[in-house]
Amino acid sequence: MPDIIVAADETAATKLIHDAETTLGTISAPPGSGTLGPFSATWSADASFSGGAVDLIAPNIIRIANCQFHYHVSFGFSIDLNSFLPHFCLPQVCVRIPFIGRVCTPRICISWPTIPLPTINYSDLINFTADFTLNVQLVSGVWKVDVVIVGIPFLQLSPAATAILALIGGTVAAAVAWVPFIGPLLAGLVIAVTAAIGIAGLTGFLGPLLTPFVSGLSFNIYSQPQVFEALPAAGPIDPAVNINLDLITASVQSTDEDELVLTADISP
Amino acid sequence: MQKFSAPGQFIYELLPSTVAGLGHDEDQFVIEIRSKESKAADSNQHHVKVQRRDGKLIADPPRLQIEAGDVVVWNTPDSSVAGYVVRGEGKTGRFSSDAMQKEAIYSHSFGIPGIYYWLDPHGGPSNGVIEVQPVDASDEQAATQWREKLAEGTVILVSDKKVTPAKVKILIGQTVFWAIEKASGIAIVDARLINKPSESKSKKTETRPKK
Repeated sequence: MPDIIVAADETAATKLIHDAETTLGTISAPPGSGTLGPFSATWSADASFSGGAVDLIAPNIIRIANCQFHYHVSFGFSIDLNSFLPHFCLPQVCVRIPFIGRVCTPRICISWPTIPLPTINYSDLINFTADFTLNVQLVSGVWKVDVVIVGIPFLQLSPAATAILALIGGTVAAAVAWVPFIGPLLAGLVIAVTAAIGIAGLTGFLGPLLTPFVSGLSFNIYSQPQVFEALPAAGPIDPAVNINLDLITASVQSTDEDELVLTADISP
Repeated sequence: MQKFSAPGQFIYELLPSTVAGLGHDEDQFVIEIRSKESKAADSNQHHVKVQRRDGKLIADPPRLQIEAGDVVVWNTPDSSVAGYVVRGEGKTGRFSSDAMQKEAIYSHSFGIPGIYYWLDPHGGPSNGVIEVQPVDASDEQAATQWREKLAEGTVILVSDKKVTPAKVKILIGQTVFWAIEKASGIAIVDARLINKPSESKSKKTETRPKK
């Protein structure tokens, strides 16, 4: 029989999870690079979690429904306009001038530049539902009870991909507007660039970028030093009273209601 | 562009716009004009390519032999070559692209839509407006029509203080020719470069000057 038993119903468990999400704070992934359609892009991303409804399922599952995954991605790439724009030359232009005669300009062909796009920033949130399992471990003298995600939840990225594609199109248009003679070709350029990336390309880009945030996701719901002071020292002949937490277990139990139950075996 | 109506010889220089008039040491090039032999009504046109080599502006060919009445066109196909001035002198007179006096032409292709006010930076009375209209060439028919229009040029005649026409409307990519019949030494400059905000309403400008 354990020495201490603590139980939390689904309402209390929800509070525990939400507090743990807040404590986890914002996670930043190290900057990296990847393929975005035909482009090589550099990127950075960070994320945080909030909300969700907790469903306790015996013996060991905590299901969080509609957990909010808040993320922010920044990425940038360059476009060699020669890859997307047609070969363009100003034709020879001839005019007749009364006191000179017929004069003509030479034919001049345009070499389109390579344009680095300004960094594209996008923030959004995804709701996902996932099962978490309870994991209890003693780490460096501290008991930790974590809820750890089971598997990798499906992240619906299509809406974000669509929005980002539109953002890229707008960024391209603004970034190249200064290029002489590009005006009549601008609409076609934007279509060509966004088509080259495509929704699938963006989804393929976002997936590896965001999945690591949820793969192996865990929230710490309880943390306690193995040896803790139950009573402070009251004097030189009245030392502090310490309690050892010899063992902690965690489980979900279903009696008259579903509860998250923590038990502890203690010794002096 | 400059027409050379009388036989003779001109020695000229190509000067970066930023140092023109500062006694910069540049190479010199030659135009030899012989009497007109052919009876053709139209003059011949000769092209000189302006390039940058070893930090200097170079004319290719460096020596040109033409007939009286022919026109010489200086042009750079290299967008990295910034603005430059062509300035020459001979026994029969002198010429300068930044102070055109007679039988000279300046042409410019406008690559960005907007309203451009031009004037003479030497303080002369000549000035005008060029409205460059945008074009959407995203479909094949519109693109073909636009490309055909690019071959049509517009001429602005400058004679003494008179500018004809003073207002011009063109499509993006089209070329305007300023033909100087007679002037006291005129250059054609975007008014924004002379910091006259009351005349400045254009959006962005670009530089692809041809002479």
